[in-house]
Amino acid sequence: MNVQTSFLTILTALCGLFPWAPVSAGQEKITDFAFISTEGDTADLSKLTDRPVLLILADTSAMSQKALSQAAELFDHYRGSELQIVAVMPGRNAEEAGAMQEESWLTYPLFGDASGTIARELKLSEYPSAAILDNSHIVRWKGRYAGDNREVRPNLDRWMRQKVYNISAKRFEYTPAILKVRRGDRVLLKLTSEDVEHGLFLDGYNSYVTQYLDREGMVVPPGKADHHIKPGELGMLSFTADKAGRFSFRCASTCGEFHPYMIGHLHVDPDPLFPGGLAATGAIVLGSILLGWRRRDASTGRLLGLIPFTWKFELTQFRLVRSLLKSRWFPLVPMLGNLAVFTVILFAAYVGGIGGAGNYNFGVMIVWILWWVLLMLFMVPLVGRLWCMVCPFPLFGDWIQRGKLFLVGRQKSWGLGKRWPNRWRNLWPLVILFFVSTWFSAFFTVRPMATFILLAAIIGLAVVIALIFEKRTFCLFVCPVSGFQGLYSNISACEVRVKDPQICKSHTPKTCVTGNDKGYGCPWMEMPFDMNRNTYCGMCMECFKTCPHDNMALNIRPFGKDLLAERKKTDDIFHRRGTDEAFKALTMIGIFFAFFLAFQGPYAHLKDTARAVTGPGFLAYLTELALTDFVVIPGVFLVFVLLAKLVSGVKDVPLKRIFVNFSYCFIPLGLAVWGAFSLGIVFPNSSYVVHVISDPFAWGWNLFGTSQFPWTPFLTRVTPLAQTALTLIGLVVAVDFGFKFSLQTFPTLAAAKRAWVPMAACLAVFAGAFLYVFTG
Amino acid sequence: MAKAKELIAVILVILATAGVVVALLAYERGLAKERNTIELEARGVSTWSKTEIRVKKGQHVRIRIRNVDNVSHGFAIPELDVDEHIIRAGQVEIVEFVPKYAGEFVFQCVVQCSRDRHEFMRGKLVVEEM
Repeated sequence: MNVQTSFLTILTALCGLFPWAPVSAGQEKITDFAFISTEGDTADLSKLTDRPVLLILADTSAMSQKALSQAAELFDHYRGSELQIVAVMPGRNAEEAGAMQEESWLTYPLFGDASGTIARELKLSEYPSAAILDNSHIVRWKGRYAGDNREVRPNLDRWMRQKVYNISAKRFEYTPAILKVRRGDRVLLKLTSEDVEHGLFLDGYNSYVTQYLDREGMVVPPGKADHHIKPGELGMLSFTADKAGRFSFRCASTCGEFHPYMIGHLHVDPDPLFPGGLAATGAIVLGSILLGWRRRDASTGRLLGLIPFTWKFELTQFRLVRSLLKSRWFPLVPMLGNLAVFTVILFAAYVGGIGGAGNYNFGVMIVWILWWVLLMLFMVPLVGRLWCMVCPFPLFGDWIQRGKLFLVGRQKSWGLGKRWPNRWRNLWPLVILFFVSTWFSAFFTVRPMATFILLAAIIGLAVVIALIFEKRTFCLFVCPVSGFQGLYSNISACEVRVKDPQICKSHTPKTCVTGNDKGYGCPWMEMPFDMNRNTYCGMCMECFKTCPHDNMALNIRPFGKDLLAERKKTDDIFHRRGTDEAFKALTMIGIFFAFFLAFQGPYAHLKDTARAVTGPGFLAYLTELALTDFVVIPGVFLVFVLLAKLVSGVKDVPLKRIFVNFSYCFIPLGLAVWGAFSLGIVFPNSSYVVHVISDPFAWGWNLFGTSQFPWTPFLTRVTPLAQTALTLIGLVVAVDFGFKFSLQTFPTLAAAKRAWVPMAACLAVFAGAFLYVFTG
Repeated sequence: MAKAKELIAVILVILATAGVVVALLAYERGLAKERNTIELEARGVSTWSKTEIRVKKGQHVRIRIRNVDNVSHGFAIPELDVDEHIIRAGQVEIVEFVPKYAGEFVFQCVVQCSRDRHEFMRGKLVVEEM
């Protein structure tokens, strides 16, 4: 077998294994690796550039299949990298080569430094079988097989100071999905697809993997390369890891329903953010304990010790606001506008069907990106139940019950008008219903038809409940998203309250409850004259219309005022803390962890369980959700509560009271981490909204000229930082209120100080866990 | 006056629901009239909405392909030199060509859209003599 034939053998073998291999013998342009023929005993290395060179002196005639595939794998792995791979045929004859051991083709490379120049001429006779060459050293083969490519690669990576990752993509999974490099490393990501078009966008570096080789193995000219990698193509992204941190990388080519959740992580170490966040957590919690320890009074009157909770700014002092809230057109008109938007949402979700791309569907994008993000980042923290004010879902129920849409009709609900049972007049139904709806979030948030079914079911249920039960029973006790909005609204910077309680005292009948010709008695069955918490106030603004004394006020107030409202004189069912609210707060934490890990994490198996690839997998997911929400999170919390009771030294404070009172710490912390969670949606994916407003049904419309607007992630560099900041802000507020809860719970200042130590530690543990999922 | 306001509110509800749907459909209908295209959908489970398209030889053909699936699809008729068009999920592409030959030709998806069904995502373009 002559030299040339041997070359053809190895080439054919390599090309067979890797159909895109572009190299052919004698080809002039050496882009990646080269096979250099030898003249006699000398290899001509003049074609090499001064990139780091890996030279493999090979005797293909003696190569076993295993050795050949090892070589091929190595070549393939480093294609396109800084490494230049050269295979040289030493030109041995077959008889001699046949005597060689099967596995002797590759060996451990031993490397010197990469400086120096390339040997231009090589006496092959000096190297009997195989050797590896770097820029300055030729290392003789040791004569025996010393390891496979898994062991060879780290040495090569180190030698050329470029980390090469060959990433295989298949629907909703990168392999490997977690990459670790050091800051300053040069990194080469190479992407191939196993099934459909995929892509890879790297957060923070704002870079895409782009086409490098096409399906025929030809290099794609840079001008023509895009970032959609088809099966059979090779995509590459080369960069220097100059920013430290944990960066998500995500699919850049719509590849199926779970496409927006196809995510991997790149760790560029050392990352100061996670340890920094932990240090800040420790400092905040220790600071809180120390400040608490020095306290000499048990006052709870100021937010962060600065803003008195009695401070308020009355918006209704302005005539314009007053007349707006008095008008029956408000909030009817925004509700109707919202109804029109929801009609489009439902229509889009319906025509999108089961298989339409959720990320190009108006229904899915507006609900799960725009609505959710506005809700968690703006509406709830700033205004409270602003959404409930303008939500169009109860409109039809109201209309049926009242007989009028705009005017004031029946005060007593038409239909059966039943009273919701007392034992369920709390947040428990909503704890359960929201938990149940999370089972299917892997469908709602990605499949248009699932969104349609969910919304249609909610609208239908709202009408049915309105026919059976009185007033806004649906909003209060059935709507799945009502619970967390109500509970989290206790922290919001806005409230509906009476101006002067004395006026209400002497006012009979209480028209805010009974209604009059100007408006309805509170549809949310609150006692507006006596409210001190936002949980059950839907901001429908009827009490502004029914109060003949103009005694209702819309106030801006310090955040979290209602969290301290422990028990009211009337002891109304709405005005108390309870295990229902405690579990609402705690399950929201459990759901956060489950959602973040399944949807924004790099764990494909979790995604597969959530989207019910297999029945048992889905059952496992539901079990995991149930355990996290109702056992693990409350269990961990309970351990610290027990500790708090123990160290407080107070025996007669019931454990339940401690559990319930401290659980309200998870309202500021929970809202903060849900806000942070939302940032992880809004920065990468909100650009879809720009597209869908122009082409809401993927019908090829271009209403506002933005239908060609490409998917454009933005601010992904700051996402982990912003998530850390939000978590820490939540923690600051949580510890501020936590100590106040301790003061409320325990009879003496000393006991409250002692009990606060384990509870503060508890918050540190949770904050640390949040930071870990965001940045660790 | 009060009754008029109630009526306005009711009209607004109708406009916000049925009115919106009618407006959307009417708008699409108006666009469809101007399009003058053969409509083709690339659908889920690797299927075309039409498996047979009839055109005339020598006449300009405009096929508007909407990808209503959630993966990329492609369109090509190699025998008629209709090159690859890639239609990504949620996007719309217009393929234009003049068939030079009469006969039956295969149009097929040219982007692997499924591991097992992609090969079967094909249809027939029938070019008739003028």
